[in-house]
Amino acid sequence: MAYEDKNDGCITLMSLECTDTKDFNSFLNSNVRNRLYDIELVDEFIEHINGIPTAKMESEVLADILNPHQQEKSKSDACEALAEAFLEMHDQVVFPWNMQRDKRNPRASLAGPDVIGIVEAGSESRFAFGEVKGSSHEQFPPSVMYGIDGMEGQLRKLINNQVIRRGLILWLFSKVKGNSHLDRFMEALEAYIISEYKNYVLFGVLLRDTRPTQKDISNTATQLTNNLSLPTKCNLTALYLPWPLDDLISRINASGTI
Amino acid sequence: MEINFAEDFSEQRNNALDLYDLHQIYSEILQQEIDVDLSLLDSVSLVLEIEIISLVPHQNEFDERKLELLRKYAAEAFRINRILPQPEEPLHCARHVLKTASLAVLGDRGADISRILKTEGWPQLPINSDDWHDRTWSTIVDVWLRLIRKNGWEDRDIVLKRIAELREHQNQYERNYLDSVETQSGKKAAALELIGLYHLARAAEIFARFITDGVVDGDYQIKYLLEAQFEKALKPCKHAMLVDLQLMTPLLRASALQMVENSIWTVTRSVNTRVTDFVKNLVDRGRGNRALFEVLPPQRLTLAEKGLLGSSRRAVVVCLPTSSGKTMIAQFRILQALNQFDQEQGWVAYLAPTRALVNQVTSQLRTDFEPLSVIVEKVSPALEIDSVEMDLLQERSQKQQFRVLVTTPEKLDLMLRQGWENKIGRPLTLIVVDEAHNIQMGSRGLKLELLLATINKECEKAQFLLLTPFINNAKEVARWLGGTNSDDISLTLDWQPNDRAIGIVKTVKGAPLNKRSFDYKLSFETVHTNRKTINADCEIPIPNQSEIAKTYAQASKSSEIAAIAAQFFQERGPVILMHSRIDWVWALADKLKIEENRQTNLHDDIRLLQDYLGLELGENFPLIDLLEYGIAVHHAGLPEEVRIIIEWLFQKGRLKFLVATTTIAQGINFPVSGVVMASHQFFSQNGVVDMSPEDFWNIAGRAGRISQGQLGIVALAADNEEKADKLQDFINKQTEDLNSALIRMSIEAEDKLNDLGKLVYSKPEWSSFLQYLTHSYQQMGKPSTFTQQVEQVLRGTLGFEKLKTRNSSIAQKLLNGIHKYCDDIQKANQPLGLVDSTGFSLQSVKTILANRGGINESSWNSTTLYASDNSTLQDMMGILLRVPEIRDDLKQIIGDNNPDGNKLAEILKDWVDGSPVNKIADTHFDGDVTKCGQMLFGNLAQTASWGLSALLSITANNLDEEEKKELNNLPARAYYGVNSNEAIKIRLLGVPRLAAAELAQKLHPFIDEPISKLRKQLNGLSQTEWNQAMGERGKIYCKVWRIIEGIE
Repeated sequence: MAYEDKNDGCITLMSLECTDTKDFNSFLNSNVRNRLYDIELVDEFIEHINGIPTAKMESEVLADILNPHQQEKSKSDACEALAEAFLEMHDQVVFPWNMQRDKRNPRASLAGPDVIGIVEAGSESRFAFGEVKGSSHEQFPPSVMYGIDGMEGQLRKLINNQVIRRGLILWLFSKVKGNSHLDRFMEALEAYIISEYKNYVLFGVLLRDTRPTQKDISNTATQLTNNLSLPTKCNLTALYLPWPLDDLISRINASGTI
Repeated sequence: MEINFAEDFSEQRNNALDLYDLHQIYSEILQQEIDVDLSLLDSVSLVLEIEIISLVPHQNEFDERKLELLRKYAAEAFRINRILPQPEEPLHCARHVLKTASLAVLGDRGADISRILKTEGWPQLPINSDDWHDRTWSTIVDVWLRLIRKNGWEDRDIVLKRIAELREHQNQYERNYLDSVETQSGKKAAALELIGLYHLARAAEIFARFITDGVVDGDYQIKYLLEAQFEKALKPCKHAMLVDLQLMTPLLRASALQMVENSIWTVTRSVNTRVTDFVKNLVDRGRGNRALFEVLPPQRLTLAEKGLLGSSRRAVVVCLPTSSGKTMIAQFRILQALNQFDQEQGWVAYLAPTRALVNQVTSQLRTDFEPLSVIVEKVSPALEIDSVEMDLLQERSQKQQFRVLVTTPEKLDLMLRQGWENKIGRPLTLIVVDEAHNIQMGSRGLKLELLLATINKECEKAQFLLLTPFINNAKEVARWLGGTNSDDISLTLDWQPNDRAIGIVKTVKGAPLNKRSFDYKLSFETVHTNRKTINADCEIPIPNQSEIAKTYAQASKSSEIAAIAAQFFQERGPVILMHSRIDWVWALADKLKIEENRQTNLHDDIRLLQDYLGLELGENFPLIDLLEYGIAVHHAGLPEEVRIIIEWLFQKGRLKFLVATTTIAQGINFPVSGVVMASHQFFSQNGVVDMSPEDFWNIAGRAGRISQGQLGIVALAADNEEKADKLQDFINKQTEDLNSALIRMSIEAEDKLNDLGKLVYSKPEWSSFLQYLTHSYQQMGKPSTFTQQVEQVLRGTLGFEKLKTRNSSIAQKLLNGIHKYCDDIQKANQPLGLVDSTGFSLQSVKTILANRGGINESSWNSTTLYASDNSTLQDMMGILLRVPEIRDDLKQIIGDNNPDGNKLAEILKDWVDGSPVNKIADTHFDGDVTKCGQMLFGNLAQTASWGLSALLSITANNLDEEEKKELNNLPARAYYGVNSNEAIKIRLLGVPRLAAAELAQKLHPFIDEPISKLRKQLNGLSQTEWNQAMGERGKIYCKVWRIIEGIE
């Protein structure tokens, strides 16, 4: 733990330095890896491709793209997997499904946040939305934190745009209905509605391979304070990896079978 | 999976719906937008959408209760979404509209959303974009909105075209789009999304073909085909975060399946070929935008869910609110009956209570059934059957024979008792009774009840379909006629064709104008009713109208209040005003003659009516002037043709106000924007009586033009607080059971029940009951044990059993009286046969026989009877004045003071001779054209023709069939007001009285043809030919006739 800044206000800051320990590595190889790869996909993708002729819209292009043997993972995929696993473990955020299944089309109107789940805040459930960024940039804070597409901009968008949250909640519902997370969802929904859409938690997770410094995330925190008011809460976390970010995927894959 | 979430928020939901009501009232009446609490609305809509998302996938497993719940939530969500702000970006906005539309379909508000989409449309979408993502999404959203809108064949054709175009361009654009997506996982998501959209396109294509053809590629299992595509559309959502697709598809699927249920193909599936042909007609491309692909919820409920068409129950009672599409329901049932008895060429009787409705129904059925070669005829309400009608009824050629006969219950009753089912030679297979709740209304009601009882007993193959507004005991009524082989289909009061607000209008004192008088305004306050009307606890201010009333005191009268309110509401569209008496109706109409209402540039259609009125009723007839202000009146004193033209003018939007009596108002069959009641009562033989709840809601049902989605306003005028309270109670009166008139009559007549033969002299309403007993006695073969068996006969009525349970002592008294009467009729030498042929009780028949004087066969001379120098008619009228069934009506014409036959005969002769109404008014009614009209068309025509026909039956009994047939036309002349047989035929074709003689001459060469052929000839006459026949007036009468026959 490099520093932690919990105040009574909306924003909580935290930095965590990860060390190259056995615990950390096994965390990578199990929790994170399971989030990154999805075995069941293969058969189902074939089913999709086979279904297309019934719509009379055959296409080689689609077949190519959905070729189940192409399961390469990008760095941002890996960052997200790590962030999710971390939030799950550290903050008790529940992700009712494997988010790696949920690829996002950048063209979509609700080009969604990286984090959508339900968090146990004390004994109560709340909706969790968030963004994950990874950066090796030797700048403090790194460029991924600011600008419209930066963490600050995206978090602000979530705060200001109720319509986006609404759509995400409805989508989340379609994922939880019929499973064990439904009760938690309903609790979170009720709190959300009664508070006139204010009672939820935002998460911002920044992955770094540079030296820990408060400057990475404190600026964003300051900027966002003006946009936030209780009961909305926002947790900003910086995770510092002991090796370069580029090694993340191979570290996850190390000594284990897919 | 039940989450019951929405119920936890029921208070917020109610608040949101109240907001919606308030918003509607402000926007529709005051044309103002009000500020609503958007966050409340949005959160309620979120709750409802969550609930709906959870319910929707399990639709197929649901029971009635759950389906109702889903419907309710969807309808609520639909309303709320309508007043929430829409997204700005076109595709977002269109998706939002599609969501709203899907909710509407699920909430059974399909007709509403179709209309909204027709008037408001949706944003322009990049359908032809080079960007495949935009293009595909736009296409999908666009085609599904069209499939929900269903604007005739146009929408359907465009849907198929757009999907074909999508396929054509797939190769061209798909790859570029996918290449443009950055990451690998992004591409995968994009690809999966496309797959989902392609399946939605295919589903749209399947559905589009289905709505016009009822079948797709030879497959009738539409639901399976659709489900397969929707399932494939949803699957990709498991592997990518496709929020829009995930949210849209389940709702779209559910509404598509619902639309299949609503489809006219589904609802009438494989009943028989005639029905299929009818459906094909309704769906036909030639109908353009009027093609009918879907049915309304009440029609779906009745025809499919409750299986009216599937099983042939002997008796079905269907309770529907106004404007639920009951005509189509009847049409399907009729076709089914015709099919069932096709071999025997069975026929169907459609009974409507008034001549106007008979005309209307005939016209509509004729138009709709003509392509199926099903011939529809009507016979006049006159209680005699003239030679023309005889020919029509006995037509032997299969191609010309009627299959549907439209008429009044009284006429059918007479026909059947005169043995006409046999003479027609084909079985009566179905009786459709419109406005069946009239059974409870006085003597006409009892007659209807006994007619049905008689048919039930005597017409072996007859089945019954009763159409009525909501009554409590529909099941009981159905059982009365069908026993266990019966059904009742009662729509709950939940579904209404449009929104309505009912309220009370009062005057509110304003600032002082001077020392003695005050300014004023009106206030309209909605009230809560038990019928899901809109209620917003607010007072709508209505500005004063100084031309109608200057001060508070002047304004505080019912008529003034009604006029001022009507003036205000009229800005939204035509308004009906009602009052209880004809003279008050005229006075109320006058109040609206203010400068503001004077029409500049009077339309030709109105001038036509003015010209016609001048010819028929005289140049000074006050309606002519009223029309200059866009005002018309409706009451029994106007000729039928005039009333029909007035309705036609309203349908075309040419008039602003219709002022009507409360009795006539029931017969009004067109929608208006509002109804204003200066009185909620009407005058009857028993004094002033409150309108019944059924009639009130029937009239209220006219408020709000559905084709424009308009909020209907019903306003009742209260001139003080006490009246306001009374009106409140009146509005909230619960519909009661439909009860036989016999019960009330028996309770009223209690002490006199022991001598029914005597009772009928003072209470003529008992006549039909006595006739029922007499007729039954004859039908049963005059058994000596009739008295003992009569209880069996009584069990066939609706009233007697009920009376026994309600009030056994009166029932016993009645039974004793009946026994005595039965003993009487069994005595020897009673002229029982004449009871059936005349429609008079035995008592009346005997009275006539005793007083016939010199009347015999030779009295019936077609040249002399109506001649001015002959006194036979006077003697005849004198006899008729003694007959209980018609005596009171005849007395009304001449006044109680000098009840002799002379005056009646003189009026009748002038009428038959073709004298115009205003002349008759001058000669006999002190120039009161209204009173004259009332007495002539509303009274004399019916009563005299009935009386004369009965007299003929009695006094010319010994003539043979042919001679009788000729003479039967003499009473008919009294009915139609013409003096020749040829003219009668022309009158039967709907030609106005003053044109009949001349047209008869013109069509002389064809005059002996069957009536349907003669109609074609008349139809084919040009306006010039009418002019040739009648001079300048010809073109007026030509146009009027075309309007009456529904050709115009």
